[in-house]
Amino acid sequence: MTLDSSEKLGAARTPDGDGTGPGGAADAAAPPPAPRRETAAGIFFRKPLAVFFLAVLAGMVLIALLGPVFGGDPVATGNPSMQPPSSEHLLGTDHLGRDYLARVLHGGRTSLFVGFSVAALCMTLGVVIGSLAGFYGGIIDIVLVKIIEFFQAIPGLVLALVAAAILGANVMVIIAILALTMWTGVARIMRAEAARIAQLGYVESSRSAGFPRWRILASDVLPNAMPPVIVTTTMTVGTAILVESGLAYLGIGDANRPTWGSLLNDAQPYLNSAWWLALFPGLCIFLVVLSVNLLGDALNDALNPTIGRVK
Amino acid sequence: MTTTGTPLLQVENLRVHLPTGSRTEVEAVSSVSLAVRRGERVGIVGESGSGKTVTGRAIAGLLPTSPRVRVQGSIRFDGREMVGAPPKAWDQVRSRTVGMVFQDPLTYLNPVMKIGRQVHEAIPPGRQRSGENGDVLHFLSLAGLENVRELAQRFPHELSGGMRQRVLIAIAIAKMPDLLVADEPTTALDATVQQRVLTTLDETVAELDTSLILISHDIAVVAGMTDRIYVMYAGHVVESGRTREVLEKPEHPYTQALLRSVRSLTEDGVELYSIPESLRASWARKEEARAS
Amino acid sequence: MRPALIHYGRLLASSALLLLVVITVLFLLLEIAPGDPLQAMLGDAPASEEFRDQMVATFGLDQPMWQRYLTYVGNVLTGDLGESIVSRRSVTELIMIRAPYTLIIAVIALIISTIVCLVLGAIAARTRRPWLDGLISGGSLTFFSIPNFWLGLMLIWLFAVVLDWLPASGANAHGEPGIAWQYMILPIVATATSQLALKTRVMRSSTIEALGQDYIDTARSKGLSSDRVLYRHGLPNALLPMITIVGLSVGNLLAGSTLIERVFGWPGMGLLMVDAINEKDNMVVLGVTIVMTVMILIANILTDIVYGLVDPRLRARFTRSGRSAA
Repeated sequence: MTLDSSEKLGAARTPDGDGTGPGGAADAAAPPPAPRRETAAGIFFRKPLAVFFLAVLAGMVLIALLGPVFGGDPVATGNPSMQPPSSEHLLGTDHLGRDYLARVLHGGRTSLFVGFSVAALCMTLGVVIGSLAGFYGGIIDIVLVKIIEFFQAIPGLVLALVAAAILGANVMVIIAILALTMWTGVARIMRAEAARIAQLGYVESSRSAGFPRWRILASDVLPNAMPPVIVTTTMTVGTAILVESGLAYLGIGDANRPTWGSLLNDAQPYLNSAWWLALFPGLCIFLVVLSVNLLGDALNDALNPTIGRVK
Repeated sequence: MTTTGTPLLQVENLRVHLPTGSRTEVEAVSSVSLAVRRGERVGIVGESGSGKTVTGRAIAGLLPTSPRVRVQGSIRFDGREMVGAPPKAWDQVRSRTVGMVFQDPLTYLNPVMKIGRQVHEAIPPGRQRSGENGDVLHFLSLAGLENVRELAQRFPHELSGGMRQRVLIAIAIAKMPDLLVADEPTTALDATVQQRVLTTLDETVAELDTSLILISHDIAVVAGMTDRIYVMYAGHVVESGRTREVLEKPEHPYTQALLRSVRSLTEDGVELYSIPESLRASWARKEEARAS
Repeated sequence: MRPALIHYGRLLASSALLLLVVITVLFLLLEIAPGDPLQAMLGDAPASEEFRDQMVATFGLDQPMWQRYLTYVGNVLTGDLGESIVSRRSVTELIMIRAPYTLIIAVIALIISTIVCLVLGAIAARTRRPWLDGLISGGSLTFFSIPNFWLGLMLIWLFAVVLDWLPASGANAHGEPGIAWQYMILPIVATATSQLALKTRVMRSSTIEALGQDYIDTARSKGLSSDRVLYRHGLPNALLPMITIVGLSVGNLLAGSTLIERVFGWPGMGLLMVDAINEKDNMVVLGVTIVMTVMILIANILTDIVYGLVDPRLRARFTRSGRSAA
């Protein structure tokens, strides 16, 4: 690459990790920086849709945490069975006469727990491996990249299905399997960011000033690499919830802890007569995943401000 | 050189706003007036950020197409007003009247299209002369390339930087434009290649009797190739005139500083003059007062 | 020619290695599965004492682990995926019967979603009407967030239960062999929708990216109309990354077939696998996994070949020695 392109890179991305450089055309004549730059939070909260779905997600999490306390007993069977939604049973009752609202609330607990746990694991694994590879480079990088490539190349979803089917039956095992098949996204981004930041002037100067490598990694590289990592992790929550509910729908999972997916599994035979059994759990999955994805998009816009489409 | 009648290009009080964020924008060009007569060669010099590239792009109709890019003032080709003109009118101007040579030969060629086709596309329908292939080869050789028959079948990645820049020149002259805008045409090239590409540009412009706007931060490049010069700073034209006169007797302190920095680099290499931030602001205010 | 040979030699070798690793992982999974290996293999299927002895002999369960591993790998590589414990039929044969059902849905959904995504993505990227871009982008994000098996359930409820226009389940009327077209519609729609959502998002950003490149300025400087700039310069470059995305989607399609086929009772490989999982018929589960892995690897190799043919920067592999003039 020529000197020119590296200059462009430097201009587009200031050391604090959020670019202000207008892309393309305006680049060559880089105008003086805009007098007032919007903060990431400002950009985020200006979007009514992002705020709305953040509220939806927070509401769902809150309901999942507190709901079971107020939502009633999910296994009490005293009610008339197969009642459509009514004022007494907001989401109706199932074939055993259990209050469906209580069951959906309980199901959310596990689904959300799995989603967030998998994302947290993926982030940890991805950040550790990605930053080691990108920051240290050399042989460590080569080996770790091979590992990342391997995990990307294996048909993860199919293997996760089989592994869960054979080892399954335990939420923790499912979380571990999903994290193992999904961590590479964060790792790749973290590696690219760490490699980019390690090249920046201020990191090189602290290196030549004799700071220990791990301290540079912790104080300069990690904080600055966070924005894209957070965006990717957010998206991972949605994917994890989708995959988990898919597994549960196939009957793979902890039979004692119903999730939205397993409720759908139970609902299918009654599709003819009891539409509400299939509608509400799926609607919950959809709302949560949509919120998470919209949040990811909004975070992406807020944390990586670009000129957008100018050409 | 005829000096009577309307000039080929007349720019008055050009003002360009570019978006920099989802709600922020910057005034990249504040007030630029310039004129180019037929056959004339004009230079625009200034540091990066002075607005010279944006001015050149505005003239060539190549600013970003976003509705948030605002162009005010007047750009007239042969008296025809182009600011606010419909896209069709601009297509016509771009296809016949004005050609542009870009800065970076590595990124300005379509990587998945053969060289020959990229040049052929640039020849407007009414101007083909010797059959499409003949024309393409003609312009490639005119731009100083050799083995053009084989070259036309190649893809950009198979060419060196200097060759690609010549292909970009061939594309720009293939419409036989009245005006050629060359934006830092040699900055991305090696020093040895630079001079040869400049010579080619010089010769082609002379052969086709095309007007030229040469945009550069490098006074030395502009000095040797142009009749008149405009010095830009912070979105304003701060000084203009015959190239020799401006360079020999610079009046504006910025031009003086620009010249000193060239000298300090070339002669003793000790000092690099640059202008303090406070001065910039006061000049900008002065210019604005003068303009209104 | 040589660089091409080396490249594809490497690709083939790494694919083979991956397959071996997958088989090994599957073998180890069975080994570490709770219970004794025979039980894991038999699952919950009822088995007579005689059958157990026979299984011990067949799988060499009295032999050390590494020897069993070698036997297993050897069998798989020669196309012998073992025997179903439930139906006592050859797993290879079972898969051969089911695979066409899965492939027909996958291929049609792949074609439809790819064509539509190119159109929608390009429109969303280029339109000057914010509402149209918003509609397409918002729609793709929405459908991207819908679990497609739930979408399938809702489609059944709407079109089979409420409207009674289409059959709810199966591939043909009871007892009839083959596939009737009415039965294919809902599975294809459910499969293609989630594929479409993902690909439209990618196509949109890929087009925006391509239209932001410098060579677009060159094209505009020629005075080409904006349509010609899009068709001649924007789209050809925007399509390159889509080749990779379409290739990668084969993995999603096959993994997703387990869900879709379960929803619609569609008798393909996915349903075979789901049923086998429920019956703990592990040899079938492993067999389907291996076949799906092979299909995914083949798709990857095909993607690589197509990319190499389409992108002139890689085409050099085939013609010249990949040189780039200095």
